[in-house]
Amino acid sequence: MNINVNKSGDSCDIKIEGVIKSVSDSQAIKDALNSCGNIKYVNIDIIDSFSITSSVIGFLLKKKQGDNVSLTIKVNDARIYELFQSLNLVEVLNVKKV
Amino acid sequence: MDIYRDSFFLQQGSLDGIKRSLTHTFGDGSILFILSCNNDFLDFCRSHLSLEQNPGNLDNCLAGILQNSGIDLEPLSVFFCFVHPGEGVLECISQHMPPMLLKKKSDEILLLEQNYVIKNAADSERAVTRMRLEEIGILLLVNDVRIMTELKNRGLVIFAKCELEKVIKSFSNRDAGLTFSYMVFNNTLKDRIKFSHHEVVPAKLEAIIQFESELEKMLKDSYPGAWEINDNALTVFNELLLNAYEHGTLGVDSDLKQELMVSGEYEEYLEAKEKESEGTINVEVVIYEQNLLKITVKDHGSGFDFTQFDCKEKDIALTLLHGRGVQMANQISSTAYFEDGGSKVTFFMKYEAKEAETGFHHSEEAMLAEMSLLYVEDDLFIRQQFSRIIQRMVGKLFVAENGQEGLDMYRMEHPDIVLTDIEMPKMNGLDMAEKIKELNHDQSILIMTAYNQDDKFLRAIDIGVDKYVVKPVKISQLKNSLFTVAKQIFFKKEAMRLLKEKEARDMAMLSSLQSENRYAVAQQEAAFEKQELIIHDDSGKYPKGWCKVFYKPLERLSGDIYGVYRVDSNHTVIYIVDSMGKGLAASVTAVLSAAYINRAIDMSISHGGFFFQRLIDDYRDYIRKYLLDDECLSFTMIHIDHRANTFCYSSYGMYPILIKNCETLEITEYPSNNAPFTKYLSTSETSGVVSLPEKYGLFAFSDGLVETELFGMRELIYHLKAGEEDEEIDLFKKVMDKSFIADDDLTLIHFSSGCN
Repeated sequence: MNINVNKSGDSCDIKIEGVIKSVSDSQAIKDALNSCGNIKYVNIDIIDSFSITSSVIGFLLKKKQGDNVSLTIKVNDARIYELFQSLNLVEVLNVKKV
Repeated sequence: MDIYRDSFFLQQGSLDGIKRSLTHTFGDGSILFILSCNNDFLDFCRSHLSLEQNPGNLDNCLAGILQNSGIDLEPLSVFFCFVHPGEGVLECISQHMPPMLLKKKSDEILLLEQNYVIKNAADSERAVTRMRLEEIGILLLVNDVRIMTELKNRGLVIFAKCELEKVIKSFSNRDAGLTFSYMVFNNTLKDRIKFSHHEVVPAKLEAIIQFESELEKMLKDSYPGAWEINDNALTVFNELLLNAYEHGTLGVDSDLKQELMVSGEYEEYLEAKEKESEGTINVEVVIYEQNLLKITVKDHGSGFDFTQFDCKEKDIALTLLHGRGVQMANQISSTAYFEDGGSKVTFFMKYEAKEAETGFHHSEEAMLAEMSLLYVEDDLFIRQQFSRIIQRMVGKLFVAENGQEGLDMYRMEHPDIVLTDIEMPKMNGLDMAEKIKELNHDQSILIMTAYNQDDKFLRAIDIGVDKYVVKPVKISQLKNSLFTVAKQIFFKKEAMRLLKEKEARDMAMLSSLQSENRYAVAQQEAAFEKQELIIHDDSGKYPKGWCKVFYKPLERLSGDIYGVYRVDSNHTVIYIVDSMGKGLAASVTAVLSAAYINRAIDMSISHGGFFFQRLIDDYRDYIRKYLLDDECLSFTMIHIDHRANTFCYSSYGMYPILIKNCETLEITEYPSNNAPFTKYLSTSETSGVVSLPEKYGLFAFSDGLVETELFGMRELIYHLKAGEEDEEIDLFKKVMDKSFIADDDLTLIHFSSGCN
């Protein structure tokens, strides 16, 4: 899994390539997001993962609900989108299917 | 050669190493020194000098030499110097040579001009310069006037050859075509004593050995770097001290010694003689500031018939048993001479300043000192001599007289190093080495061999001998070879030791890890037992086949937990809690959840009123307090009303609940009505009351079931649809199949209303 981080002002863009599948993947995403510091907007582009770990979901929910960060998640794989749907997260995490 | 005496020394040399001088010691101890670039003249002089001559002064000496020389003396550049210690006089004369430089004892420095033309043997015009020895500090002659001037300007601070050569070399660098020769007569020995030690040693072997050790320490302390010269000094000293002991104090002459040696009674004889003897040996050790060591050994015996200043025994050919000490003193020391009829012997060792650096050899010495060595040599004298030397180098020495004895000893003692001669009776050194290598291929073996033994060399290579020490054996060469082998053994042993230590550490760590792991596993098993104890599972209270649970934690401590609660005959509560992540933290949340929910249901039953929404709300309030900032929790709670054949549910980030109509095989999905639960989530949705088909199958499961690439929700529904009578059993089988199991805990509950 590869992560590209690009911070611009209050906004942080994170591009994730590869499958999000392990504890270290989860930690890497958390670290990437934390490296942006205090931000208002986070745009996550999940290029090809069909899955996401509950650890990342928890972290995103905390950002959204605890830190009031405005989230946008773009996904490409139908399965991960279905997963977000199934978990009732499409609206909460502002998930968009590309 | 250089000459050393009690109070002075005479050194000579040239920068290019070509000898342009000669020294000759007469029987009365007087010394003649000649410096000239004419080799024919020097050869002529050499052939006309003999020990027996005692010319008494330079005039007589020259008359004797120059008579009938046939050499044209006029163009010769030459310098003659005659020292007569007995008379306390030094005489010199030079022709076509630069002035001599004299530093008097009073520190006055003079250039002594001479330019005498030697005409013939009886020339009355010879102008000999005569000086009293007590007035002379240093007298120097170099065949270049510029150097003399330079040295004069420097104040003639010359105590040793190396210092003089430094000055000469600086000129040589400037003028490469020139060759320089020099002579320095230094009469300051008595004035410049750095260290002096005098000891009367009882003529007992034990006392002698003790003193040898003390001397060794003394020399090492004084010249810690000069290990080779120290060894040579100790070797010569050992020979001369034993001479004094055996011959001087115990009166054993060389013939008797040889006889006793051959008959094997020598040691016994010495022991007996030693008991009778009351003799002593005087030893004087002096170290001069000029980096000179002088050792004098004097016994109280009758002495030998020695010509004192030539260090040769009269009328006795040098054999193995005769004159060994003398030979060794001559070969190894800088100067050795006998006095008092052979009962007093003095030798000098010259140290160079550069020999102060040798920490390296110190460490090698220390390595060798820890080793054991088997020394095999049939020659009694060589064996005795080298045994004494090697004894001081190694930790433990084993000595054998031939190959067979060496092999037997090797089998018993397993020494670190084997040092052996080749030609020996019973079994030769190479045969022994071969057999030792068969016993231990890694054994370090050194062979002492002569240059002309090529065939032996080749065989030694085949056997795998480690090193060769070429005969005649030099102490320094032997020591170097032993150092090298000792270093190899030391590092091999060190490597083995480190390897063993590492293995031991690894084993200890492995054992510790295994122990820790066993402990952790035991703890996890105990925790899981508790987790299972907490799980409330009433599935057995329903008719057979109605309720099946598949619960498969990925690890012993599971983030999944479930409950099947038969509240009463009409009401069932099913819940699955899937705590974020895996392992201990998730397990704690799961256990807290189940403990709370079960207790809440129990309490509501005992208080006579069960309210599903209240259970959900209470649970949310409770667990919110124990969630970490970024921890999320998925759970689903289902309430089935059997009498009304309805259900309602509240799901937080769970996969849909699937209801299968067993008659139409239609599957209806009931998705999560809430996002995963976090401590920040305030909204709460619960479904309305949903009617169930008459015959239905209800499936609730955690995400482990569908979070694999191969097996997702679509596949799950497909399998459920395809299943006929035992579709749920097929499903379980699929779930059990490893290829479908995700990297997560897995819980599946199937509740059926008599589909089967």
